[in-house]
Amino acid sequence: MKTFVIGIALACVAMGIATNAYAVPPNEVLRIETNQTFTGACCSSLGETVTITEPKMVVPVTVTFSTDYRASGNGLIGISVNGHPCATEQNFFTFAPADGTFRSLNYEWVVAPADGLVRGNNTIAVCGGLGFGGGSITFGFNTLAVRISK
Amino acid sequence: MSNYYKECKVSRLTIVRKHAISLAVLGLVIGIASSALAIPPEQVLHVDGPIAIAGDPCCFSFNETISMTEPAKPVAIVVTFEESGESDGAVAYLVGLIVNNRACKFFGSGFIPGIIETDTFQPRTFQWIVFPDDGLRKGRNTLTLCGGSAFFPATVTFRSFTLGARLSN
Repeated sequence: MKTFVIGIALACVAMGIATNAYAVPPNEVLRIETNQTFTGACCSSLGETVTITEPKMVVPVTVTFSTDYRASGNGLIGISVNGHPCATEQNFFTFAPADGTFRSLNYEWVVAPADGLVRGNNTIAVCGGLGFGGGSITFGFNTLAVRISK
Repeated sequence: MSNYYKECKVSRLTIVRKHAISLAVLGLVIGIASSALAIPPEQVLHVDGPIAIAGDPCCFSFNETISMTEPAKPVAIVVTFEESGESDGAVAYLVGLIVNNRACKFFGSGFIPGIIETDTFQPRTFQWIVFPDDGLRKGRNTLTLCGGSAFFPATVTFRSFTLGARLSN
């Protein structure tokens, strides 16, 4: 009977841990509802940051950025992990005129431990900028989310 | 001596059986918990088209709904809307969500720009984040696609789309 009760208790603990692991703390998601304009050539911080806590054994995280935008030219968007240089890969945005409309883009990055993740708190910031000649990009409504891989 | 050996053997078997039952119960409970964490079908909607949505300028319901069940303390929902290309030219369109029959609102990017060339298809993905303060409540919550033309009455035709959501637990 004692063993049975211990078994049930262990099951409850396991369920509690599983539920907690799926909870998304508010700092892992960000929603912006005002237009923000950034100027300059790539690459600098574009002012949007989320954080995530890594367990003892660091695992990959998935970052998703979805935004409306308009831009005076072509450029690049990437992420900076814990202050490391902006990793833009091949994430281009293209010219979108300031005619009252926006274009939209959606990027997803998978960040591996080797990309600079550390145990505990990690900061992930959106970065980028215009290509040759500089200019500006305006973000409309947008969301940024990070979640740990399972 | 023989009896003593037999009693020990029986006692060990009893202990092993008890542990086996406990492990089985543990496995069963974890299995049930994992099943509960799978995405329920009402949280995902896939529509094959073409789907023409006509109407006045933004915003009105597209009558396409998914639902989510929130725990006692509601948590944020991450919604993804993917459409595989719209076929009408030169129509700037907006897409958002109605949460629990409230007003149509934009929870992130939602702009589909006018297309210069007709019959071209550009897939798009939008990610929206709905916070508890946006009207989520304990129990069943409905999320309905909404939107409309940005400037004048117009029709947009999606080849197909998927609307999905995940609860934060």
